[in-house]
Amino acid sequence: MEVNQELENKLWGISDENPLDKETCDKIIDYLLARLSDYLQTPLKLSDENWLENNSFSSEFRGELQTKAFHISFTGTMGMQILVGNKPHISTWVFLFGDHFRLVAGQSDRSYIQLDYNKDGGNYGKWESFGWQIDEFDEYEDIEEKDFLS
Amino acid sequence: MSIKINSFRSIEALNFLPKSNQKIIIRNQDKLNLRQEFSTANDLHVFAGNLKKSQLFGKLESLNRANNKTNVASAISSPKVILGGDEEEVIKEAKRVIDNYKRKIKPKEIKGSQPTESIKSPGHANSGHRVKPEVQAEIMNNPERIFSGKNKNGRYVDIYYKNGSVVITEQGNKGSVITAYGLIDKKKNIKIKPFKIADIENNPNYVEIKLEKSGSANVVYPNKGRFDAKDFPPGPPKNNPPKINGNEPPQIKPTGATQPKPNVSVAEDLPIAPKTTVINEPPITPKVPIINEELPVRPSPLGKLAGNISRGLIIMQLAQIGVAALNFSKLEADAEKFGFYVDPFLDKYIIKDPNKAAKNLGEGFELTFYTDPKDYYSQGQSVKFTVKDGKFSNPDGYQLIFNKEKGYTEAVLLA
Repeated sequence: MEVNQELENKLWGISDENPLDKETCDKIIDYLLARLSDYLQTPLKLSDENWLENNSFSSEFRGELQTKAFHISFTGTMGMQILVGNKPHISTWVFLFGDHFRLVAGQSDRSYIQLDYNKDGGNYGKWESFGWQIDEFDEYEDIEEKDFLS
Repeated sequence: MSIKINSFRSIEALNFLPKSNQKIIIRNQDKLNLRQEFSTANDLHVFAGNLKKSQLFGKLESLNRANNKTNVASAISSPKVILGGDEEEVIKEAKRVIDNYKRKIKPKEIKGSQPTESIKSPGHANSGHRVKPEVQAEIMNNPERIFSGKNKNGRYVDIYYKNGSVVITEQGNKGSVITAYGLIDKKKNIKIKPFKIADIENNPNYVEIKLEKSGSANVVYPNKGRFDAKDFPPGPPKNNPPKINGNEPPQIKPTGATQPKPNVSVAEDLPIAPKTTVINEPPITPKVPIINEELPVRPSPLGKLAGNISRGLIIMQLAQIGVAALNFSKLEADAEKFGFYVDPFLDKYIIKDPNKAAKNLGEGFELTFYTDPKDYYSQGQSVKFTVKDGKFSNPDGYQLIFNKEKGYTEAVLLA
């Protein structure tokens, strides 16, 4: 997915003074997911209506890798909200399943993979993976795969 | 039966009622308006360093749950002792944190917390859980319960709970929300369930803050180890989780190993065994027991001791309730330096030099003085004094005078 500078500008310019409208929000989410799909090198599919509220957005998607021997799927939440410092921050939380069993790192039972879309001083953002993260508040222990398999 | 214990300089070696199940309460009555409490199963050790007069504003009490009694013991402590660190900084930070619980936040003030070097997850109450700022504000402004502590990532956080949901913020900052979930969660790829508050209740890494209508804040420590950790209220600096090098992703630790054990500190200067070699003609020869878990729980008459009492008598009384390890040399040094000491087991100010004591206790200090020093099983008559213009003052004309011959201070009504 080529860089769309217009959407990039809108994305990084979101603030209380520059609120996001639903139409632009949907375009940005589609754009970010396409960029994420490129980064992950696998197709992604939106699995729910996008959510926009108070200059924050959230979308949910899924993806899968099918082999003859096993099936890997994942659900993800991609969202943006304004952080302390009044700048937008885009993150994605990905939860993995192997043959419909939740996959976690090591002995942690609620870990996930985090990716951020960072601009880092440039004109446009890039996806970056932070790898496995601890579910520090046990808030993702009940992530379900089934809702994403339509 | 009530035993009150006050100490302006130390709460040392309160090894009393060793078999009881006690709740310890500290009331910081002045600057913080903060009440702290924790429970002990069988032991109670609260330690303190040397305190100055200006630090005299806390009060520690112990409740004997087994007998459903209150005011079993009390002692005065200081914020420095409770919290650690520089007193002024500690008070300032603690006050800021406590005030944050009380303040009402507007939805527009709420932002997501910043990720850190080691904690990559940004605030995601909106972006991750689809919880509106209005909902977050409502929970933070009207919580059923508030907890504060260190999570398994080493991050200091506040947890506001209401109706099966939580808002979790950076400690001391309602405006920096990390997450919000539970029944308010609008994510679609998760099974929505009530937040399990029991996980926090039973987690020794957290304290509970109870706001009272009076404006004071009570802090409930789950155990003595949590209290001894001295990290709540937090003194600066705070929120310094361990750093991880450069681009290396945070390590995933086994769940069971991520919960640090409470840091139970033991003061090095704990007077384990009492030094009781000299006793000034006590009416009953004291037997000071060694600290021992087998000590029986006995009722004590100490709540009714007179205001001035000889050293020997104190030892006798301590022996009666199974208390050992009172460092008399320190008390005597205090008496020499400040003109008084507060016996840590008797809830009594022992006045050795009324003039010096008045100056050190400060203007407005109120003291109830019991006039019958020999009858330590009853309070006898009492006379109230207030420090005024650097001296103890009584509206009826009583004066405090140290009787060198008798070795104690008397309240004397001059003609």
